[in-house]
Amino acid sequence: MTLDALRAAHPGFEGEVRVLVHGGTCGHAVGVAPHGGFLRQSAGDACAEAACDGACWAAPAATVLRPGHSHRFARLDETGVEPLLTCLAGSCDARADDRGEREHRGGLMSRLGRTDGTLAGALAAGAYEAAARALAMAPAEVIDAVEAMELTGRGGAHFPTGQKWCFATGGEPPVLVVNAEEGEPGVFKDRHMLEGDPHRVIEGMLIAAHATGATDACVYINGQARRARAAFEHALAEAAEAGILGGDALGAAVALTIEVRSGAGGYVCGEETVILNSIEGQRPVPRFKPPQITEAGLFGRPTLLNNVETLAAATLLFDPPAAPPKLVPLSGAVARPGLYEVAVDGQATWGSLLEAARGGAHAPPGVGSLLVGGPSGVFVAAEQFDEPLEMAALGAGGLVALAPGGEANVTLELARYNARESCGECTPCREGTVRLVELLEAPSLDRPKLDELIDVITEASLCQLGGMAGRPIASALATFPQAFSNGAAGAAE
Amino acid sequence: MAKITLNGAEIEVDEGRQLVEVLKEQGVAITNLCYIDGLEPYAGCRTCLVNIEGAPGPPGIQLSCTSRTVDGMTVDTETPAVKQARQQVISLIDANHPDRCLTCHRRVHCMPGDICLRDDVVSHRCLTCAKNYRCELQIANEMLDMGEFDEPWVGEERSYYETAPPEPDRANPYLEFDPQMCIICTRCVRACADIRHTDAITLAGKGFQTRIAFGTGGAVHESDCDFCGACIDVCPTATLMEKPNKWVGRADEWVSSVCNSCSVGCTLAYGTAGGRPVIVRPDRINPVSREQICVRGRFGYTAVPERDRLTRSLARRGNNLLPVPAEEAVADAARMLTAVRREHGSDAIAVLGSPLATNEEAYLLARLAREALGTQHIDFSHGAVHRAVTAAFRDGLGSERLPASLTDVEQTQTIVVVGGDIEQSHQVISLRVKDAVVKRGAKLVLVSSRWGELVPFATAWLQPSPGHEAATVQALARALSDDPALAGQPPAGVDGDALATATETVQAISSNGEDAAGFAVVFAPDAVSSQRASDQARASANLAIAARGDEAASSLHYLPTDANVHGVADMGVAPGDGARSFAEIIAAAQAGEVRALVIHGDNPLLNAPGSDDTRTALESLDALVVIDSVRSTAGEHADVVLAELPFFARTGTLTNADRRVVRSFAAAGPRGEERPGIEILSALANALGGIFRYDGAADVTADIAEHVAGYVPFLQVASGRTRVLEAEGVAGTTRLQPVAAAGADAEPGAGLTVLTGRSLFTSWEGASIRSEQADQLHREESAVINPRDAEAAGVRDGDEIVLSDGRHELRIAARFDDGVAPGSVYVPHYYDAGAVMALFPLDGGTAAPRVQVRALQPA
Repeated sequence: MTLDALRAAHPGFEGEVRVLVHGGTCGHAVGVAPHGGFLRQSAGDACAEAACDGACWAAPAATVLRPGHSHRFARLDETGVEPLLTCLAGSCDARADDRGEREHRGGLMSRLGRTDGTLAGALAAGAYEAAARALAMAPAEVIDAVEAMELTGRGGAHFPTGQKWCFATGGEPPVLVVNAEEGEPGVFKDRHMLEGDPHRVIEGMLIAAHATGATDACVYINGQARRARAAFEHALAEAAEAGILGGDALGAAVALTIEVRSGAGGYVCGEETVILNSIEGQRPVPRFKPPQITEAGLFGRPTLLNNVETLAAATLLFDPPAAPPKLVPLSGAVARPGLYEVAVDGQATWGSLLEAARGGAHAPPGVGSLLVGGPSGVFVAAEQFDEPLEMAALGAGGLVALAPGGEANVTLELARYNARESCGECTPCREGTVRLVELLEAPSLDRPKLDELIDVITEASLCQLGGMAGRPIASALATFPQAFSNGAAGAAE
Repeated sequence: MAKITLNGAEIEVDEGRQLVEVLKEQGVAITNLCYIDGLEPYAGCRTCLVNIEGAPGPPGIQLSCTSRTVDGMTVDTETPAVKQARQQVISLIDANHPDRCLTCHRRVHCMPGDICLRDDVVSHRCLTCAKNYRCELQIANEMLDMGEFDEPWVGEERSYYETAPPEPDRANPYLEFDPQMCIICTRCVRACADIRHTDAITLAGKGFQTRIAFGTGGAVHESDCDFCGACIDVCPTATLMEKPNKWVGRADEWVSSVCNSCSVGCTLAYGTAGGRPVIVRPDRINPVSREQICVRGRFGYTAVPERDRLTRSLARRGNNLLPVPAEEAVADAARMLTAVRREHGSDAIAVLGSPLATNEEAYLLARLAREALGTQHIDFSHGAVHRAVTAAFRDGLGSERLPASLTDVEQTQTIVVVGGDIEQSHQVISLRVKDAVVKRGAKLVLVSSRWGELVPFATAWLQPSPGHEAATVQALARALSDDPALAGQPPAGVDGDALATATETVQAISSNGEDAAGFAVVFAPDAVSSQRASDQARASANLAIAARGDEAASSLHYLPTDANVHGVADMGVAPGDGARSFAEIIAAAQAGEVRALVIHGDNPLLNAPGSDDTRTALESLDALVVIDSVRSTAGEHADVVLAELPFFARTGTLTNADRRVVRSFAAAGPRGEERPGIEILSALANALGGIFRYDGAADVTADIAEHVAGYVPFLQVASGRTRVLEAEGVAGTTRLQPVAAAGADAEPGAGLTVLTGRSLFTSWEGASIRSEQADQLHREESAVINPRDAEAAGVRDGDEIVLSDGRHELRIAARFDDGVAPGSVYVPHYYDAGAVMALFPLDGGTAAPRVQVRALQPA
């Protein structure tokens, strides 16, 4: 079978005009259902549910798609559905928001929340084109192409993906494990991808499996991300049914079995060896290395572990963007929190990113600083906003914009988070993170003790989550020393 | 070999070893609170930090437990940076742990820890920890000069003492669990899972709330815990400790001894204080048990409270047994025995030895019988079972002294276990079988008519109807050989699929059966029916022969029930030619032909089947002389009871299941007029006109070495390595033997077949005196009955029931468990001082007793 035949077998929506109601976690959290119900009554078959398209701020929202015209109607709760119905009727209000059009030109987010969630919809929007081409190539050529696009691990460590795949070849075929835990606050890119474009993730997995010889895979989805899991499992079932998994629907036979597993949650469950323990049914604690998981990982087998976004980005290998794309979940004190795709081209700055999210009427008083990388992250002060973005500095990508003066409070909250989320395996993290909170809660800050404690937690912890537990505190102390003159608790009051 | 530089000195070590073990071997004082020697590192405590250069990985401060030696590495353990890093980590542990032992201003007065200020409330910081000066955390603090190190993270006002500690668990008689002392090193979790394969301990909660939990987090005794104490041995703090003598567990000296509660003969180290044992640790001498023991070894010495021990000899005065001076008791005994001999002849006297006694005592007892009393009627209550087995081995394998070594079991690829529940009867062997399964991927075939903890480890569990064990083993042998001697009926009760799996498993050994590591049969007969033991022994020998041919004797392991069965038999505690066996002695006593009986350390009312007969026999004797450390139920019928030291206070040797001679030294002095068995037996023999001149146990061992083949003098016993075997080996003389067909299954309505066996938690001595504390955990005080049978009899789980065979009634609580096959009921052997033994026939025949079950009518 060929991709064309596959498309023919899965015809999508055939009408001219389509209304996509953005459900997903974002839409349902703010009550999109009644609006969707109303639209379904009005538009009938032309109305379908899609996931969030990354404009989380816009929810509840719906998009009208017609040839040459894409128009998202944001905040249906405020504006009502009248303007949308007007647009649907053919006379579009020029003042309506049209950002949707600009944000969806190519790249990782091109299909995100833009299809009706079916395989047919995804195929119509270009899904599995890259996989079909990759499967026709020799594995080594695929790896070369991934190396050429300079793809790096989007889980935050930014290890070259091509190199990682290359290590996985040669010996016993690896088991592919996909990290979709994304447990840290402020990061929601993988969840969006699984909800809004699950076929891109499956496509990336097929490419990785073809490149490395993996024949089985396990996707570890955050136990609380129920919609993401449901959407992915639905896509998985459709792909299997269509012969994309285990058949030759893409022109070449692939034998990849994909299982989905979920843990019971916890920040530490995003650490790669914890994922393996959790899948195996062990207590979710990290393993020490060596052995590296590429030698002995899941059930002792050689293991290739990639982030959802990394695999999604791998689908761009035949048409790589000029600058490496990065999904950036941005939240906090901005008018338009949501998922942004940033070209890390040396031109983009923290400021330009914030500008995109600033928004008109909803603009908050201003952003004092950015927290980059969540509970293991660092603070970027306003003075640094015109510095260019670098991939390594972005980590997993989570950005939280903070109003001026909120740093001490956030620092304390992060310390509490790290203490709460410590798995308890190693002494420095288990015992030390609690003492960090105590020192920050103390009426006056004992800097020498705090510095020493951060030092021992950083140096002696078993895994990187413990090792980086003191990082935001150290960053806050260095960036906003005046905010801690009376201790974190004092400043927060 | 790798050359490494350790603290400036160049040394050669094996390449690729765990660095922390090398450091310890080199005498470097290194804190390591979570590492267990020999296991994979856990790397959780982070206290074994050292500076490493010239190894893979970034140079600098690294853990020594996860680092392995490589050529050219430089290791520094004492640089200021290393020391500070270790201090910082330890101080984090200290911040959530009681520290009075380090900070008490009077602590210098406690040194070296053998007095403690807790009895003398002069300071608010008095010690409240039972592990003072035995605690690894305390030692780690002292090693790192933490006394001079600021407690950096918490002040006094926020310290450990300000929060209510979690509740300790003191609800069971063996193990105290005090979580406030826990530092989450997880050694206990790993010891329980990786060393004992029990998995009773887990981690609950996360982060700072992480806690050790037993089972699902409830009381220890409600979990799967077997109270082996492996967790106690590895616990660095006072979190897991023995309940008995917890507060006096600091030993003055350590004595190497042996456990006599089963035939594994685990070597124990008794820590003693004030002339009595206060703590037990595994002694590594026995190469099978090594660093592991079971609950009976660790706590057996506490099973009989001191007040229940016999500290003075007793003699019958009128209707009462009254304390008398030891000399008077011996004189009484001698006078009565002499009188019987004078009036009825030597044949009217019989002697019973104990399979729990030392070789030296057994040797003297045999001499006493034959020389001083002139009788050949000497046996012990399980003697017939043992002789049935040894006869089977002589017939099939050419010798009873099998060269198979239990040290091989954990290396074996295919293991067939034949017997009851060896997890309960011989726990450390069960552990080695599990080791083979878990660590070596061995295949286990289990032949047992009831469930045991080995079942989950088995590739196939064959559950024959009671009495069909031998036929089942024979069926396995048939799978390997078509010799007509192996012909027989298919075993009753065995599931067809399980038998097919088991057959495939044993047939697969042809590829790995070339050496002793390929195949093993572990055979543990129950000590009730000699005929059944004989059949099972023959079938087991057949299976070994079918698998290994002339090398069969190297693959067959025989586990007698009691500790020194081999030794006692070797010493001559067995009827001479034409003389009476135990059952015949009892029958003769009932008939008035045997008029006097000397019993050393045995209790036939507890140990032997047919206890009704035994009781009437004991009652009809003219003279009954009992030598024992407790006032046993048999002793109640005695005319004279001579007070012996308890086993752990005696010196001597045992010959264990492996025919290894292990030495046991006295771990306690006498109380009252207790005397060693050797002294008592010598005194009695001399009072009867003998000339026994022995100066201690070693003197007797010298005599044994001279007269018993294979034995050596005391000082030449390489304890645990000296084995009493055939001088020539026994290969090449094998013969397959037919096995008697099992009896037909009883008619429906004939009642339930009674099974019994040795249970894990019950003490022999406690049962022998009918002590309420014989089963301190109360785990063995119920009959295990299949729910199907119970419901048919109108019995509910937990009901008091009555088992009746028409002549006896046994009252016991019912416990539902489908681990016993329908049609059978299991009653623990030691329940109610061996009450179940009354149901079994004295002669050891195969006919299993059948009982009707009914619920006890409420009064």
